[in-house]
Amino acid sequence: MTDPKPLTTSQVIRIPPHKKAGDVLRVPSSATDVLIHLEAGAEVAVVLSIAVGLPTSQVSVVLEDGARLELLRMINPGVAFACESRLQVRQAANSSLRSFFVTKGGNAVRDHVNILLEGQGSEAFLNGLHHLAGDAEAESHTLVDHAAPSTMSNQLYKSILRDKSHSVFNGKIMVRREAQLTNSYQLNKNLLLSSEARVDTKPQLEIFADDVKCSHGATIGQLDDEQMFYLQTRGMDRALAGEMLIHGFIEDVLDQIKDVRLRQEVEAVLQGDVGYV
Amino acid sequence: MLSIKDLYASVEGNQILKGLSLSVKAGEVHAIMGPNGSGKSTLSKVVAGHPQYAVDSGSIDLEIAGKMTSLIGMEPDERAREGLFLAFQYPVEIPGVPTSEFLRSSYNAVCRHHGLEEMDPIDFDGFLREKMKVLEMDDKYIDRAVNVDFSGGEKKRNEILQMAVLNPRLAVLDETDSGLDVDSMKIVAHGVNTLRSKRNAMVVITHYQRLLNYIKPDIVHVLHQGRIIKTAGPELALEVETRGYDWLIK
Repeated sequence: MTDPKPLTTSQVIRIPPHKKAGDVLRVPSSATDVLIHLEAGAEVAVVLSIAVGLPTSQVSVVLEDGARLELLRMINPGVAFACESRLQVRQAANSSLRSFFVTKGGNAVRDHVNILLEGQGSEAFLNGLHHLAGDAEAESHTLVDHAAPSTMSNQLYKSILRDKSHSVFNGKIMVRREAQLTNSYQLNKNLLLSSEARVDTKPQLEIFADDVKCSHGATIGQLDDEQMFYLQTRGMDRALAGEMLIHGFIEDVLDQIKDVRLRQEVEAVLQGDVGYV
Repeated sequence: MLSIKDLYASVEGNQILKGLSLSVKAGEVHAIMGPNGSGKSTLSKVVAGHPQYAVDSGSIDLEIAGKMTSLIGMEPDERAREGLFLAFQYPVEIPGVPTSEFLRSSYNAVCRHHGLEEMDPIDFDGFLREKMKVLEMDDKYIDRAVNVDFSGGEKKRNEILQMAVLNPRLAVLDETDSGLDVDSMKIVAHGVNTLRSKRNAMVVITHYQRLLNYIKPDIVHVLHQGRIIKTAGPELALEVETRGYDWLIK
């Protein structure tokens, strides 16, 4: 057997000033090292599928003044080995990032997100969905660094865990002394569908400014018996009722995806396990 | 249509129903009245098949395909697909699930069971709006999540809408009047009266006589300490209204 060709390639996406890209940009699944650079006022939506065969994926993002990026990163179903992914973002004034990370399957997935809000008025929405079964494990480690005034971040991560799967959320918000008037929110919610599934969640805040609004929290729960009963009294069997409740559980995360095409992409990946009949 | 005989039932080890018997025929509306703690809500939960309520002894039979069939051991969803409906005293909130989608899934689950054609979202939307018109209901909330941020009156009206969509043969209304202002109660009562027919039956559970001014029952029962202690015509409800329950209990 011959050695496979090295899969690692670099890819640079550069969007010139004030260009609003109409099409969704797709990063080839062979790319393991990606730089996305949006110049001032540029706007684009990018999809990055992390495919079978790649142990690492590194994405660096630079958002200049007023640039807007919506980025979807998906670990494809069927990734059957350990995988490490990383997103590193620097944001200038009034730039906006919407990041969505979804993993469905994969044995051991570890994702790191580092956001530096260094320009005044910049904002980052970080969302994640761990949809796991079997003995899959997924970890999301986030760090949002508020380094300028009037910055905003909002994190919503959810997990749906079946069988013996395991989800980790380790989120840190740092608000520097100069980052007055910062708003920062973080929430991790977990739905356990099996008594053997596990969750570790660790939301953390470190605040050095005094005029800020911050909140963080985590919940771990199961399907609600009263909701299940209510749906059953309306003729839906337990399987269908459960699907409906799971779909309801993740609806607000999916709602965070503003680009309809990106949302459809995520829904297609989730299809079959989650969704109405 | 419904036959309950000598029913004993418990929740969390406490026996609430103690020898309750009730027989309801097609075309009838029965009212079950009773003071707090008499077992009214337990009765509705047991009939609908709530998993936390255990039948200790006795029988609950529903007419299914022309044959009296025991409901005991049957899943709540099977009972619902066979034509039983429970309007909840406290309708449950389902965040993230649009009301229209919920109603359609429910409707289609019943259709599938009976080998009828299912409806796609567009046809169902037309069907739903027609139902709402008949019930004189506002359609503003059907795109919102089920019962989330609904007022008390909207939740109860939503229950009646579900009943209209599913068109059950036997409907149990558990204190549908509680927490309703007069206008909402009239809308709810109008819905119930519209759905009333010779082929279905209703059991209206209520603490107060008030609702029975708008929904005229054929038979009124008084429930006390888990069993029916008095059964009479509609005049019994008025008597309870003026004299309370004490004269019946002593």
